[in-house]
Amino acid sequence: MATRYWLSLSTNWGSASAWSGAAVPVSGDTVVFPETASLSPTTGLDQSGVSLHALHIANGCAIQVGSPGTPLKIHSSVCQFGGIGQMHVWYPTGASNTARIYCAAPSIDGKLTIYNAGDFHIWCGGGTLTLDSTIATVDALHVTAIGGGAASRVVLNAGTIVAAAWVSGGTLDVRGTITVLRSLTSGVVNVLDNGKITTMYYSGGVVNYESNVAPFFMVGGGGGVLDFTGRDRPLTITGEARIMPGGKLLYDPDLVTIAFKQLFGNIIGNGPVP
Amino acid sequence: MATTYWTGTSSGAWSTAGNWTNGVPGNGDTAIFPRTATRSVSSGLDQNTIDLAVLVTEDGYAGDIGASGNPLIIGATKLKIRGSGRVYYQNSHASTEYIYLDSPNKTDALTLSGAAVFLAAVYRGQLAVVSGMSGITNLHVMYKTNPNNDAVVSVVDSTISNLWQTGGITTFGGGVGTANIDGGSWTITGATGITGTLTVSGGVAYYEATGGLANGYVLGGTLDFTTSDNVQSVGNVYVHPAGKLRYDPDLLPSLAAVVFLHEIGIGPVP
Repeated sequence: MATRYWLSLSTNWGSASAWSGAAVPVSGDTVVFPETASLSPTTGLDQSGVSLHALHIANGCAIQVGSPGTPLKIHSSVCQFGGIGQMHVWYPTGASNTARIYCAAPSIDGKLTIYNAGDFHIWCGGGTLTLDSTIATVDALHVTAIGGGAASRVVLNAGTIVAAAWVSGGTLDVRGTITVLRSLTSGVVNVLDNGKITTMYYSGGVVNYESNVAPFFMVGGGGGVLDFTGRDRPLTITGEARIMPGGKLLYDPDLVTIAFKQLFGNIIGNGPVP
Repeated sequence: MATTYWTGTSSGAWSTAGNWTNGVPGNGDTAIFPRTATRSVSSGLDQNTIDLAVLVTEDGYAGDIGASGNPLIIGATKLKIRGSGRVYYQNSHASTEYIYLDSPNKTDALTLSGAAVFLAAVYRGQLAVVSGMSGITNLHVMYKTNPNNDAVVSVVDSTISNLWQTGGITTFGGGVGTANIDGGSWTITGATGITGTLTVSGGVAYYEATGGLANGYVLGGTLDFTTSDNVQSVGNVYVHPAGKLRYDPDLLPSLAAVVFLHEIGIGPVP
């Protein structure tokens, strides 16, 4: 249950001299890469037998932990990234994969990439968080922007299924599947390639739905926009679009067919009765 | 498939042909209470064999339809209430029913009883769902100009399968399946509580039900258990940085709260 600080005295994670207390982190420990860290660990990154309590990259820390080809293999119940460099973490597959991931980098240049396993609860309020296609499932994903604006971006790659997502700022690029976008209040959601959002509720923000895979059920209102006009291929939606007052649904009827439309804004007096 | 307008020329009887421009509304008809009419409907209210296409009270119609204990009994595929009077409506419609409420009457615009409703959208005005009403599958509570109190909804004991609330004041005494609270004030009481997932993104949610909550997400706004003295069964509540969770740990012994980012020092401690 010790807290181990990276001392930047070595590039080998597995070297005891690289850590405070002169001991390599073991299961249950908390690992901290401080803002002042100057050396990146490049070797000894396969720690797949270790299950940390927490892994912190401090706010402003500029080093790189792991790489796309050689990620840090470790489990950590809490993984928090506030750096302006990069961190690549590969979670071992196993029964204890449930983890909470926080990406709170001060700029979009801070990059955290998560690989493998699943059952994650994820919050991104700053920086760029990439969910690799090797991730099976995400239980909950919340994308927001701590300082407002678009300083937060989550990239959901193909193959990953997110059970529930919320977006209240920033940008979410969807190439995997989101079963339910429970709310979009501000920010931008781009559904790309063969990405899919099965059910979505938007009361603000913009959904740019350019994917080739149709959504099924959409409820919009409150100034939110669901925009299919970025596509140039036909799309058939067999479910329902339910648009409340203030909500917008933009589509080319020659390309997009929606089986069932409920235009509430019109029905209750904001326009002609259909 | 006719359209007939209420005139109330001779009396307050629904069933009198002379009170309508095109006769008493029948199956598949559209019945409209125009802003030019002034008389209330007070008799002939049992129309339980009739299924209208649409029943409308226009913006500006100030009369009442039915009364407490003496509702209009009828079916309508779409019920649109925009008038300022009181409508007591017992749904006898056998299939999908849609209700739209946009009324300046925030006290007693629509009192609903009878058969289940597929969808009710409350934009402005007050909706009261009386005891024993068979439930609403989809309930949307919104606002027109004032997010605090444009819409007022009270449900005594009926089940609401799916709730989306972006404004207004709501109180639920029956069970709610999935609830998404983005604004306004939401209170749940009674024995059932939330049977699905509660998500609070804005506004305030007061959880006073004795029934349990298996999963809750507080992304923004406040989820408050402290207005109840009940011992409550609550499972996982995930609190994100902008959310607030208020509870007495002695009354929520089973709570397994997961407090996002508070544990690493970002965001306010609840």
